[in-house]
Amino acid sequence: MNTNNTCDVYDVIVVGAGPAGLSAAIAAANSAAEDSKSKVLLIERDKTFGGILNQCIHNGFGLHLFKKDLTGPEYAEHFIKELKEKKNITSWCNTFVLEVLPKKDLHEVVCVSREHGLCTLKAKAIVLAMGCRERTRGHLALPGTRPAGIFTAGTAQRLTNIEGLMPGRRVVILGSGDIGMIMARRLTLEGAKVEAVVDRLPYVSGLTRNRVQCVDDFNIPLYLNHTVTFIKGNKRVEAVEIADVNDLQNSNSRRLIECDTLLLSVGLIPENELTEAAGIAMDAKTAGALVDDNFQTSIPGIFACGNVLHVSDLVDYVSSDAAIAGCAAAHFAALTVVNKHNSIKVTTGENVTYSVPQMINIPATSATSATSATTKEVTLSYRVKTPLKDVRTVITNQKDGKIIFEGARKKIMRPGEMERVKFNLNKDQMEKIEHSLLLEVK
Amino acid sequence: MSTKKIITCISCPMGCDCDTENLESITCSAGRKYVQNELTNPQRVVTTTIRVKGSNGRSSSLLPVRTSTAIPKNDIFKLMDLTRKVEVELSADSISSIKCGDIIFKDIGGSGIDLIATSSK
Amino acid sequence: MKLESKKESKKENKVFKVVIVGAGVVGSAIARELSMYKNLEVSVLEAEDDVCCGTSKANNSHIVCGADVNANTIELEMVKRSNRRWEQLAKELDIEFVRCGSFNVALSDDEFNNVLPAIKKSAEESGVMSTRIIDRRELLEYEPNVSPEARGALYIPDDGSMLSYYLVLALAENAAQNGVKFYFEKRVTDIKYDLLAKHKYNIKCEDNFVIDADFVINSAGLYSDKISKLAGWNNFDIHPRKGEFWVLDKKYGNKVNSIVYGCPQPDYRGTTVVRTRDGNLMVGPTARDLVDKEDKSTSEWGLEKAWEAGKKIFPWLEKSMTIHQYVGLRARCATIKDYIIGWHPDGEQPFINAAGIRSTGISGSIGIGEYVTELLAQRISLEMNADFNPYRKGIKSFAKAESKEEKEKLIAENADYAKIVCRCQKVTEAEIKAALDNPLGVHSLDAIKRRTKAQMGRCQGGFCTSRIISIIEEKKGIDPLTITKRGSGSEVVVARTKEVL
Repeated sequence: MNTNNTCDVYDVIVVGAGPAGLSAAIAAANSAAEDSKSKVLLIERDKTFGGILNQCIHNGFGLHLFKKDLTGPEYAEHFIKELKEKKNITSWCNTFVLEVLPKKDLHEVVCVSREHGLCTLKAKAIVLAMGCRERTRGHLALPGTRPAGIFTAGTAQRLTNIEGLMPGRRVVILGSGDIGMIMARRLTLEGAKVEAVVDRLPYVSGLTRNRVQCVDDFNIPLYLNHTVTFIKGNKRVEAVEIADVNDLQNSNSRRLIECDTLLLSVGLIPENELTEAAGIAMDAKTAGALVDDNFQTSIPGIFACGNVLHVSDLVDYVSSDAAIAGCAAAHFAALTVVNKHNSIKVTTGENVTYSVPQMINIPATSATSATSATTKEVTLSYRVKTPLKDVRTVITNQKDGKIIFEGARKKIMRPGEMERVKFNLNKDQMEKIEHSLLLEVK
Repeated sequence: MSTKKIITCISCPMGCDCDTENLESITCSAGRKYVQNELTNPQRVVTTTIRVKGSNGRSSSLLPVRTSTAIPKNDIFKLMDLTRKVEVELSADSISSIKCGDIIFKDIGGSGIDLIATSSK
Repeated sequence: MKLESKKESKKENKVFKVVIVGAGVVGSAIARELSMYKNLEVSVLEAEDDVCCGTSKANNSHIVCGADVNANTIELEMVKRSNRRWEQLAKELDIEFVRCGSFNVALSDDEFNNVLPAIKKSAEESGVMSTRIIDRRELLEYEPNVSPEARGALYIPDDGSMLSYYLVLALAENAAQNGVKFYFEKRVTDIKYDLLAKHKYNIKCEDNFVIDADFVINSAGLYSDKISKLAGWNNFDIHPRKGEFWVLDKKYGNKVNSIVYGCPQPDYRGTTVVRTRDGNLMVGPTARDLVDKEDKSTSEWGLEKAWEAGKKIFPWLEKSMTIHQYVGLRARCATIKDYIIGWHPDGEQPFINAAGIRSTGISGSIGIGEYVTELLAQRISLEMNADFNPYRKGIKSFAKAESKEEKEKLIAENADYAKIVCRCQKVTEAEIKAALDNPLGVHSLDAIKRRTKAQMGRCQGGFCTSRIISIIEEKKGIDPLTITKRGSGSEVVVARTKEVL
């Protein structure tokens, strides 16, 4: 790994060195191994690599990818070690990307740092891996006063685990997202009293294992079907009012919980300001870019992966998808001629919130080159809308209604746990799909 | 309300609710094993932080750590009390004196528990 | 003098010619105006930890020219006096002011044919002759994204826009540079008047802080009735009128160009959608009369009401565009429908009220400063201070530097401009540090926010709060446990990790 080299044109610039960016940069460097001149630049705004993993000191990472139960920093360490071994990756931390400018020949990245000042860099391919941010009280329009003591769960996590500062003593957590539940345990262990975890849904929105190990284990009261309806306190939070979401008008259903802190774990938003400013086509359902199965966006040579693309619950999948994106970016950079292909859409049907990628490339078929393709492996990541029992995933050709793939019956699918299927499209199927596949769960 | 104790199995993402009074009703072996353990000797890996002595002039800096193995659930708070009282020291001559994976405290407070650094400092 | 020689560690005794109570826009404008004269020692007592902590910060940055202010009022006089000075003042204080104009949009034929002419007529009665009724086609040239229902509008070209907290900060900082002393977290609890004493007023604050003065000026906003009563002037009460606002993400800022109202409601100007000088859109306010002066809470009801009204003018508004909501409490008097400005009615006490400042307070502030100075000149002869420096430099913003060259220049002058701290608003470490060097010596998180806009963006401080705490700790040597959101009692964190039990 270099830290200081600048060069005229990079093959791949990766924006963000969290789990997605690290994996994409390493994969890009690996796939260009034969070409020693190929250069990858990894840009990170924080002072360390690893992104949010550094503050996620809990375990549960790497179960799929490494078959090990790692903590966040350990998981990051694995990639950072590999990053440091790569001679063809230049990594800059403390560097903030201001703009991604798509250009006809070479794309540009404008960034700023103390070391390099304000600079415009050129790249053949760019991988966007900026991650996500937390939804705030403002997004919920949560009524009440605006005192100290209201934090998003991730901010509280950083304060507690990195800065060594405790956000509060008596805590109510709104939202049963993973970070919220993890913070319920973390703050309990550090001596705070978590008065309640509250979620407006009838089920927890994070992983079941987090509910069991973070909430149930410590007998923290869990109020499902409830929400915070009012925040009280002038200088510091004094109490929050919670109410049954099915009975909001009934004042008897409202109760006041005294606390000095309110944590919000109410969802994550992909940080796509750079993406949108670059004019990349977006998917309203994921709040991320529309991508094909190489994670390429609507602008050729610009790729997106990780939470900036869609918010994942397991980092393992982020890493493996990002590796595909990084690899594809390196290949794009090495190409002299862009291969022609057709793309088919993945349409989401019954019970499915969204699916990524939204597009699958299939080699352009022409009567003269019958040898072009045989089968193609496709992986789709998707979420169901509500918890479903005894269901299976079905993928059909939308044109003729013929089933292309049918998953095994699963006892339960939950919105909090991303589903993934892998299937093959054979040559015959590829020819018959004109526009789109339909992904359903039933 | 029934007083019957339900345990949610987390050995796989299915998260089945298991009836602890009727283990035969649990159809998968991993689930049965998990529930058995939860009933007899529930154990957890604990992750937390340890204070680093006078690092970098910042008022406080923390080293993330984990227990080397899962420990009995009942011992979690005892362990937390021990971790509050200790500090690790960085040797002045080395920039990176703690490596991810190092045993930071062996048998902390005579508890038989080892604490392992999960990050390098 | 004797008191000072005694060792009283807690008790401070200070003497000033003029003491201003309250450091909102009115107090700060008066302070700056008085700082032009050399024979005045002026101090300002503020209950909160910074200037601009109450009504002055919580409004929609609309500077009115007087079109909607009732004729024959002090309010109108003050607004008009201010209106003559904005351009010059903005230059002196290095703040942005734009006469972007405002619109009252008619959404029906009835409003177009009947309401607009009526408000135009009343504007003319107030001496504002420049308003025009424009049709839909012309309105679209100014505001292309307005509702398809819009029939036309009353265009008020002389109205303008300025970030109110920037104005207050600039006035106060400039006053401080010119010798005015600001005291914070000094809530006045008692005012003793003694005709025979050397200094006629002895003012007590919480924490045993005592100050003597020859003149007292009350600009305590919501609490101006209480302060007035302490001086025996009892004939009015301030009842806050709550207004609730929504703030939208900057990325939608270019959808509105100016200040757009619907038609006025019977008792208030109505809800508006505004683009601030910072590029955010704001929707609000509502109007609800309260008794509790501390009730700064948003409500589901009020927010909904503001939103509906805004959506009528701009139907494309979506709640997913919003990043924040807040409340402003207008410090109005329920019985007297005008500002209350003048000498104590007993004809003797050297006490001036600048109270009952209705919703036009920002727009009237500079005029009030001028007028109060004139009042004071009736009883003391004021001498111009030759050293008065009207210029005050604001903090240069990296995000607002438009060209690459400008940005590079900032970085060349100060490398901290190359370190972004607030990601959403792109505020650099240089700006945070400059804010910490403010002449008023305040350093809460909200104080940094109002000076730099860090924490004001779409993540609402999620990313930068902990970084700003570190910068405050490093630069000022302040223990993070004592860093507050807005003054004591609002400490951000409660302990160090490992120390809660």
